[in-house]
Amino acid sequence: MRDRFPFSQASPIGEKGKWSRDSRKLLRWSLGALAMAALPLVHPNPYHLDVLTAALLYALLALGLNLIVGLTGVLHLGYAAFFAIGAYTYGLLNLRAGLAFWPSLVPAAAVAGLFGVGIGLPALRVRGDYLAIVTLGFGEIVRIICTNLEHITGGPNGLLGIAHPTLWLPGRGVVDFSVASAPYYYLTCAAVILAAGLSVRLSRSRIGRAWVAIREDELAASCAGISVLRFKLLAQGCGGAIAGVAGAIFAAKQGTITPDSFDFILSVMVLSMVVLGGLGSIRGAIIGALALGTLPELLRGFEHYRMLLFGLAMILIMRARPQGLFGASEQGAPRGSAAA
Amino acid sequence: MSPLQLFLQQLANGLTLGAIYALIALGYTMVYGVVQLINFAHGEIFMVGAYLALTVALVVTGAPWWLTLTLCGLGAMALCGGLGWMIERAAYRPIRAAPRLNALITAIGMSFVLQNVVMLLYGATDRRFPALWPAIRWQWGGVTVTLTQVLVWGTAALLMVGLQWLVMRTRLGIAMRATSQDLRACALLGIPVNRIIAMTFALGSALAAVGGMLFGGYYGTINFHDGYLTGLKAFTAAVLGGIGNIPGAMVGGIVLGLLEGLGAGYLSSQWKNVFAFVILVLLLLCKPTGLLGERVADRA
Amino acid sequence: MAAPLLEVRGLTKRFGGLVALDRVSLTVSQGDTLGLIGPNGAGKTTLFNCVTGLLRPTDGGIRFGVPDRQAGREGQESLIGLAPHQVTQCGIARTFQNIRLFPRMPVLDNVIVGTHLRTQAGFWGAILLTAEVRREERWARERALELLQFVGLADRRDQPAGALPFGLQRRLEIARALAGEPSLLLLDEPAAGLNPVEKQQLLALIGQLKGKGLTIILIEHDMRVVMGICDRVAVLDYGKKIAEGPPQAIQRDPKVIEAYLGTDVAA
Repeated sequence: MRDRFPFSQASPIGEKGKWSRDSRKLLRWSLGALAMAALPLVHPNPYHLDVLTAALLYALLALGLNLIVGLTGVLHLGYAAFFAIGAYTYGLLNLRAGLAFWPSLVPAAAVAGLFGVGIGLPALRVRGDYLAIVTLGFGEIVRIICTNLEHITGGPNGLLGIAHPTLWLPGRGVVDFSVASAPYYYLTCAAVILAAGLSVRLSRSRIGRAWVAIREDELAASCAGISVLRFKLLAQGCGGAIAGVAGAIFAAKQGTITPDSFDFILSVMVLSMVVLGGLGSIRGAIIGALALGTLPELLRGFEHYRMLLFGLAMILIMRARPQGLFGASEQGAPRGSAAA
Repeated sequence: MSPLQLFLQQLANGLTLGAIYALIALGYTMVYGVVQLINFAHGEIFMVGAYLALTVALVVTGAPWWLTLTLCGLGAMALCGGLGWMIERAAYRPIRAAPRLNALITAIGMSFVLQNVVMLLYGATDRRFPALWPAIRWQWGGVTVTLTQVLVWGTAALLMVGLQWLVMRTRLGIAMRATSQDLRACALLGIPVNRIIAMTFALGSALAAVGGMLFGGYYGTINFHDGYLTGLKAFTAAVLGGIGNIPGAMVGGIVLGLLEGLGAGYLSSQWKNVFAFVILVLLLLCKPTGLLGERVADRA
Repeated sequence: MAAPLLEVRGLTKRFGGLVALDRVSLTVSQGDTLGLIGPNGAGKTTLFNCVTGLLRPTDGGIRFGVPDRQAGREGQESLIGLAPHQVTQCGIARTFQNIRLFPRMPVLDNVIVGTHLRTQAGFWGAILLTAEVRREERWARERALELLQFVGLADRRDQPAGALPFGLQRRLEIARALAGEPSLLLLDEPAAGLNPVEKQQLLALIGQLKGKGLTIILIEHDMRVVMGICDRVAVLDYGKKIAEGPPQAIQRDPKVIEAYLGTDVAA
């Protein structure tokens, strides 16, 4: 549901065109969603579905990080930590407290979101470049703690035997997702669509405007009445929560989670997806994630060259199209502000 | 071993680590001083330096050890210096005007490239580092000091004194310091800032290369993944001493090395790495200007 | 209007050894337009920064009389120690010497941001898009459009702010400042870089704001702008206030001429 504001009669010619442009956009997205939904029925190859699911999980992460880095301009190099926290929260709730997947989603999101705010509080007092390093530090600290707190987190071997989701379907009874590919595909699709919807709503709201104002010029935003700290924390909380949900889905799908999956490389990959897609752009984050997320599979034969090509791609893209695929290009120099 | 002896032993170990960190930290701090970039790829340069020294050592055979050592050192310095210069020229200079996020991503990408090139060329497993000097050890009141450690301290000290001389007493050094204070003014005054910046990268890389060689000699094995962790710790050291502050990087490196050495000796070595990160985070939160104060250009 | 709106008393700001403001005292009455002049480096922008919370004064006081906007709130409150957004909440808005817009945001959105404190939509409101929130958005948009029309930028409302020519960017900044319905407007060299025609338009604009009863403090170097629009003028030099009074008196004050005006004074 989109809301359009009534324009006065004195509206210039462009307005009418904008109305149908939005309708066309909605149509395109609906068709895309339908295609995605139909895919497992048309092409039920489990391997391909798994690849897509992984890429979609990346897209979910990218959407979350987009709120922090893309919209608000806070450079975060430790995003994998929230992913880990979500995964471990579900893992621990399931293994220790017997909680099933669906009721664990909210706690996973909440805990990860709280960490986002908690880490943000001290971190945001710090200048832009240093903030990046602090977030990196936190990310690594979380990972190392997960590796070392053996009796809680299972140490380097992680948590095993986490339950898969089960869903009651009319006519089929209770279905266990177990290791089938299609259910997770649909689950992740739904999560991405929800997160995208959330992002759209937020970015078009007073909150989204405040975030972008902070990104563009923190000082001016502050003087315009925006409490910079509060909104940055909000962004980190939201972004963290989304990563938490992604983490829970990941844990439920894998059944086993180890700290190695949540390293700095992952944080960098998600960041690259957001930058590639264009800072702040929601469809950019999704497309960037799908592109970079499926790349490892497309480069199957070039296993060894994968990271090398990835690094080269990052360098070249920054050189050739710094604003990413769908980002706003620099129109006039942005004023110096703390956030990168 | 008596408690005092244990302490002195850990001190010696820590100092050795610290000297290596200091050499790498210098590169971070100099580069940040001139272009305000956290050169993520710098840790990999250190790693490349180690591998280059290894390669030179494999090529140069039949010479007395001190000659081999010198050739390895100089060779690694020259090649890494050139590499640092090239990287600046090819990857960072073209995007100097772009937002800093872009430069950071480029640096991260560059670090991936370097890591993986080395992995492809030399393999993913640990490589044994050739013994570039005899394994002599001295007993000194119950504390063992090896030639390795003496060499590390000596080389690091020599290079640091040399750098300090260069920065304080030569025209290049003055130009470097001026550029780090106000790049635009320097450019307007006719100082070849591009060349100065390139030289800064080259110099930092050369020092890191020596650090790599000493690292290899100290630990006996090297791995393409060493750059990331050691680089991060060295960056912590640079921030600890005050980013942009050259003596600060030296002090920061030594302090961090001592902290890590003593920590590993007295506490668990498993949590050793968390140490560095925790120090880094606490530092940035509480005293981001570091021990000796940062030296960065004022931004409008 | 004799009611004092802003009272600055003995304001001092030191940066290490440098004294940027030296016991400056000023009073601005409601409805007044005060010109703040002085040579470069005299401390004018520093004064603005202290008032708006970007800098914390070393000494002295700043009191701002809050009009009866919220029930029961009257009298003055101290601005010392408030964060910039809190100062804005009190009803003070400003523009900047080196225009600070949000370049990648559309012109209209730049102004809507100015309404931030007059709206309340929070996280859940944004997600659920309730009727209340929609109404608020509509109000904010209409208000922003009104302001754009007022400054003559309505036809550029969808362009990115960074793409505007310089003179229009200045006007956009003023529109953004006005969006929050301030009772005090601080303009930092609004005429700098404008050609004579644009300066006339700016004068007219400020005149209209005056007519609506807005209290304005204006930092300016162009004497014609100052003389044309200000009721009173205060002169700073090396952080000290060296003169204050009606524009004509300031023009003739020997201290001021010595410090600043030189021989280049047109009536």
